[in-house]
Amino acid sequence: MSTLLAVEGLTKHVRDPWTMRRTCILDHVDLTLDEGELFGLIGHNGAGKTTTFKCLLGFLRPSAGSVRFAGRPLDALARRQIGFLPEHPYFYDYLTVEEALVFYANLYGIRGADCRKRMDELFAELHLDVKRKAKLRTLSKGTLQRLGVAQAIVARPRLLILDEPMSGLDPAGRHHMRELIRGLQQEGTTVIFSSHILPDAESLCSRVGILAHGQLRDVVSLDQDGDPAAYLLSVRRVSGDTLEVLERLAASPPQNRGDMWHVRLPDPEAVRAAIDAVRGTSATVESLTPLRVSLEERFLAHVGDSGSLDE
Amino acid sequence: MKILAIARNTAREALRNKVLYSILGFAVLVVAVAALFGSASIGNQMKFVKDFALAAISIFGVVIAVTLGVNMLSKELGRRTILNILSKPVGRWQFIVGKFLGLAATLAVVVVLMTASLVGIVVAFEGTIDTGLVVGGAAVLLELSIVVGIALFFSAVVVTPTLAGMFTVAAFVAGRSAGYLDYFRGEDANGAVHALATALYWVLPHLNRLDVADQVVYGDALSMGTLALAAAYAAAYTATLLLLTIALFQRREFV
Repeated sequence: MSTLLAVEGLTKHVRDPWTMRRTCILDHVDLTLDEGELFGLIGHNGAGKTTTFKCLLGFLRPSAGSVRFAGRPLDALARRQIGFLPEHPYFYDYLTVEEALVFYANLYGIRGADCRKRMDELFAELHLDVKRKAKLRTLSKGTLQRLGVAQAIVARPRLLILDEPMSGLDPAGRHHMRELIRGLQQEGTTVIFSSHILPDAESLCSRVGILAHGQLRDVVSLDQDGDPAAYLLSVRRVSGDTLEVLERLAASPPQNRGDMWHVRLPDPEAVRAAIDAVRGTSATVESLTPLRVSLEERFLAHVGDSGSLDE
Repeated sequence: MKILAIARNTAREALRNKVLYSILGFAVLVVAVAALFGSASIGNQMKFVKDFALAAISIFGVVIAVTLGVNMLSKELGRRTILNILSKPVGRWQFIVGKFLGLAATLAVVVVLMTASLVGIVVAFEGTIDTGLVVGGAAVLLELSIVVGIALFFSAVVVTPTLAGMFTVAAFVAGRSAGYLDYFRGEDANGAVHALATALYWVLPHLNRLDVADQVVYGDALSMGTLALAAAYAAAYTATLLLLTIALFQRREFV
């Protein structure tokens, strides 16, 4: 799979206009997105998610680092192939839904019959048909968010950047938004979105980047077909000698409940050795469970569970 | 075409703004009342009507130009609707030029409506069309294009619309008074005053030169050369303002 977006050493400092004190908002963020990938960027409020997107799109000038889109610098030409939904998108409330979408289509150079055809497609796809002539000031948050997605995908972008797309939506709205994002990815659009709602990221993404205090601390693969992070071996009636072997192989001290021992093994080699050690003894293997990455565990490990996420 | 899309949207926003119609309605009312009082007075009543009405068109035009010019850009920045535009393949210069053209088109509609009202009233009293009033309306429009350019410039530089509005009004008043700078640039002026007056002479818009109300009211012929020169001056000054605004806007970050 080819790399669509490559971010290298992206750094953003801001200076307080009064004290001239420098604050680092983004600290050497490296990130690559493959074509067709659905990537989540999670982090606490103020972690730097929106700043990352604003640097990608040129709203903010990076203090250091580079952003390349399909091997080229991300300039106005590249923005033809990019769609963006800002956090809490605002629109011109004096326009109707149709007028707003036609305006945004025109900014991509889509006009005339092409524009009308695309409008029909978008209204059907995003269930906006009944609101076609409605003034934007009369719309609900969910409908406005759908309009936000519509204006972002009006030119069928290769890369879609969504800043907190699920923010402020009710459960039904969030479900619709998740389905919409999943559908776009299945159609081939590369999607990166930010969120601080972990289940949303977990249910949608193949990879998730954890951003904390301006640093990309970890990129977690959530692919269920990939290698597990560890294995949990549950064994009954383990003798003292066998337990000693298992303790040496385990990633952490084995836990017991009654006559059942739970042994966390770090890799397939340790699993094989543990099975060999158990085989031929009085012990019986009850289960062997691959342990997938817990996004929450990884997130809390980087962000910390003592502090508020709304810092 | 992107510039036209932005211009069309700007004009649409302005023309759907109820405040615009309030000011416009009040302006037409003032012109009509002036005509009624003028027709009832003795002497050169129509000269008074024309003089007063042209001044009213200019002042209300400036009020609308400052209000729209300052608010249009500030609202885009404050409500972050600009993010939906600049995330698309739209250059910042296209955004500024589009905004300017949309505002200029709106002001053209406003000035045409007010001038048409005045011409209609004068026709009702004199029975003939005074083409001088049309020239006067055109001169007001040239002046307003500069005022809108100033409003956009200050909106791109300062943070609050109120401050941008105050600076724009100050620049308008100074521009209307630019003729007085000649007194301070004479040979009698001391060095510092002369230097300051000369600097202001080159920086300030010479809006006084676009004020043709006296010639229109007293029927003095305005040569095509004078009008062409005024139009060229307004175009050059506005273009310079737009270039400066674009240069500043290119550097701006959207936090």
